[in-house]
Amino acid sequence: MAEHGVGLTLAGLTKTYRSSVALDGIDLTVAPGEFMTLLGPSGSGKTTTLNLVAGFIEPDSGDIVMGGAPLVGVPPHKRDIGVVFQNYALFPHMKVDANVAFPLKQRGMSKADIAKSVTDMLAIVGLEGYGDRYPRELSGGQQQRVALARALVFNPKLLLLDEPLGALDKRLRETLQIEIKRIHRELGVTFVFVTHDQEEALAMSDRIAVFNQGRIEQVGPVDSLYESPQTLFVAKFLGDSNVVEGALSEEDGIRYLVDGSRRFVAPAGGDPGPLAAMVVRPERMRLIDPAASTVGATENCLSGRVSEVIYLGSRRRVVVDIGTRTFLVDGSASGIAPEAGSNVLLAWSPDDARLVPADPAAELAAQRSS
Amino acid sequence: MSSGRRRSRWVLGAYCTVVGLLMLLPVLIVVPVSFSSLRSLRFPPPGWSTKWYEKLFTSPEWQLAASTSVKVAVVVTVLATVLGTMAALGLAGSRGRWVAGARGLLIAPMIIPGVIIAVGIYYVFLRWRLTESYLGFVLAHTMLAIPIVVITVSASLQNFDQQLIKASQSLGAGPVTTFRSVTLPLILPGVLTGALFAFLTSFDESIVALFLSGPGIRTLPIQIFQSVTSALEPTIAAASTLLLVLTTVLMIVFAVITHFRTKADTRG
Repeated sequence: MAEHGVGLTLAGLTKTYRSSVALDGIDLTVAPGEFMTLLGPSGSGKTTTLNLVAGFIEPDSGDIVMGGAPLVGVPPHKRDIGVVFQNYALFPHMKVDANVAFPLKQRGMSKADIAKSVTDMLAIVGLEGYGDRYPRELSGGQQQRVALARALVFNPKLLLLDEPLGALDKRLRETLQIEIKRIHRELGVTFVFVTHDQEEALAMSDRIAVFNQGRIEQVGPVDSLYESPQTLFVAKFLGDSNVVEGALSEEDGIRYLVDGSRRFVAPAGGDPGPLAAMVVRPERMRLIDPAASTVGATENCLSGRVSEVIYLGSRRRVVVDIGTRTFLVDGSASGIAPEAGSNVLLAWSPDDARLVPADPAAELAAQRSS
Repeated sequence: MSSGRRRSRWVLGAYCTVVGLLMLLPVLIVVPVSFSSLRSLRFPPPGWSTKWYEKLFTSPEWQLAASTSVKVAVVVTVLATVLGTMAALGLAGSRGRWVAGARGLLIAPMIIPGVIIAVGIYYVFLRWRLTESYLGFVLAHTMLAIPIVVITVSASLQNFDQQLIKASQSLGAGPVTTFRSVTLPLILPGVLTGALFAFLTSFDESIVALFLSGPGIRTLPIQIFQSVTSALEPTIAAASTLLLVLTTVLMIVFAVITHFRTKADTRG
């Protein structure tokens, strides 16, 4: 059934509110049937983008093309795009089946066809037999399922989801994440999902577009964004990162990152400019007992003191203070834990690190949003 | 302790009864008087009859005044409800500094002393030749009734989730359908309350009506006033009783609406 979805192209989208720029030239292509997530802190422009696609606001400049047809200037009720809102936005004066039937009624379907479609759709979202209830009689998770059914029942080519799980508790959120993935797979509709929750984005998406201050920082498949961030903002917003900043220099064909008196071997690839930041994920770092010197010849190494050990169930997080800043090291929870206060060596291979341009502004923005 | 509380409750009950009687008796006294057999306003009446009601329903003067009042009030109700609802919707959907100013302007007729409005209207309507005219009554009363509709509908809109409009649009409903099937049903209690008070505002209004009335046209309150000053007879009491019944019925309707609204709210 994967032929339902339709492609979406945003080109040079710009939107300004009074004095502030909400969107500053967004270019994005979503493939038919894709699950694309717009991820970013609040005020980064992801919701503005969604509202532009839905037609609730019009852009100052730029184009929106869905399945070959331009959308700018088309009123929202003629766009045939499903929208799921964070607060569900169910019609409180209508029962569940009337809510789900609403879009079909607008399309002039016969009563028998409407009844059948509503029943089928409620079954898909796992709410058989709930048609006769009012939205207020349902739990938050059930209401969001009704909202999903209502936004999908008219076979839209595109479904927009605006932080649909934001109002739910963690357990329910995870259940619904799986549900939404399943519905996406079964219906093959193109999904554009807005969230500020990076874990949610990683769990659900085919590709993620990371938004920051009205621009897209990076677009890519989930794993490549996590493994190969191109900017410091992406590295910090998506997962945890250890960052070393310094100046790049080259000696005997090897690039080094020099931070004061410390010198690190820089990974190959990437052209971040003279001032760079080296990013290493916590799970790519090793802790070594300084007594046993088993540091690899090509590995980077730092000495520090364990300031905290945090047990996270599936893994153990060690916070190491190296004097100027703290590093995070994730390891298996089953091994022997270093004691707080003990001296350790931190080691990582340059191949596990990524070089990105040093950008103080992006770093600040990421810190503020986390 | 408990006997002291019981006593204070008894005192409070007695006090409330006295206040209630003080408020109601002067109004209710017209009811027995209207059934008096005597030609003067005496209480208690020496005998009973319904002749004053007969006179009321057969007198062309009273009939004309009553029909003018009803006609004006009905048209005012429709106009003020439509205009006031539209104004409230516009205010709720707008942002900016002018919103507060516009709201104040719309509610002004409720705050400015009636007699000042009446003099102003009289002065302007004289020039426009709208005094002693049906249109003049409708225009003036509509202006006086709009604020109450703006207030009641705005109150309803405060609980109205604007996202529902976006949801409705995204599901394929145009602006008209969205208003008819989403917005209106949800703000209907406010609209109906506003309509009810708009009707009462026009039906009870006497200051502006006093200025606009003349030999050719007068509303019920003015007719009562005129009768009191010319011939003091129980017809006035009969008319007052009928007004009392009408107002009470409308207030019961209002109470029923409010009851269902709070019930719907607590269920939600």
